[in-house]
Parts: sequence; structure tokens; C-alpha cells
Amino acid sequence: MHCREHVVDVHEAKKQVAALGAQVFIIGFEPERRARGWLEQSEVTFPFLIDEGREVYEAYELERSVWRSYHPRNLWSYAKALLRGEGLPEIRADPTQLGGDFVIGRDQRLHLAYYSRDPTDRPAVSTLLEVLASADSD
Amino acid sequence: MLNASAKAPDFTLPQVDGEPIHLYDALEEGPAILIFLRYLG
Repeated sequence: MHCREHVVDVHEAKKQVAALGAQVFIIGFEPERRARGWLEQSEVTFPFLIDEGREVYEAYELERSVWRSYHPRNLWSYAKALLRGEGLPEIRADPTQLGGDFVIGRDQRLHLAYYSRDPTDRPAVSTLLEVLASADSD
Repeated sequence: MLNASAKAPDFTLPQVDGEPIHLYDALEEGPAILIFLRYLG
């Protein structure tokens, strides 16, 4: 599952997220104009934060890997997209970056630090909701 | 890599409309999920 699909899946659970009193922030690295277009295409209403200098990316110790970015599972997902008649993503940022998801409680502590093993790897939405619920009750 | 239970690094970042978000201020409203993208694909 790639970034956009993951964000859309989480967005579909926005009522459950809101019921937990929680909020979701998307963090990207490209200029405001491209981020705005991406949000419109995705129909996602979460706040989109721009980390063009990647200071926050570095602070959260996210990773870069050529091998893991071009992992066969990722290449296969692109092949399937082509077979469905979809185009390949237009990459203008660092293609070796890997993503991640973090759940942070009111206590300013990380309750989940999920580092993607490859570009298709993201936590399940159900996992995010479970951790959010426990973060809020601690 | 940061471990669960570590203190989350604080930050202030602009939204697409330029309005800044300060993480620790936002956490006063409730817990948060941060989703770091790779690129806008």
C-alpha cells in the first residue's frame, strides 16, 4: 500500500479518529502548490504540513534505502498499477526515502513508532485506532 | 530509530495555507497521528 492509499484509508476512519479526540497530520516534503494539488486529488481534509528542509523527517529518524525503496514488492505494486492502466507516480522528491507513522499521546510520548520496511509497508488503520485509544487512556 | 515511549520530537511546521502547527500545542487538544509520506505519488 502506497502513501496515498494509506492516507485515504486513514481518512475513511476520520469519524473514529475524531471520536477518540485525536487528530491526524500528514507531513510531506514538496512545495505548497504540489501539496495542495495532492490534497485536492486525494479528497483528504487532514492538515498537511510541509517539511521542505526535512528537519522533522530527520528528527524522527526516518530512513532512506535504495534497496528497500526498490524492493520487489514495491516494483510489483507498480507493475500491477500499470496493468490496471494507471500511471506511475511522478517522483520529484528523494525516491529513497521511506515513510512512517507515529502515534503521540497528550503526554508527548510516542505510543507507536512505525518505520516502513519498504514503500508498501504501513500499519493497519485498526492498529492506529487501537494505539490511539490506549494512548488517550494512559 | 525512535522507540515507543520516547519523548516525541517537538516541531512547528507550516500547513499548505501557511498557518503553522506546533506539535506540543496540538497535543493539548488530544493525541495525534503523524503520517510521513515518501513523496506526492
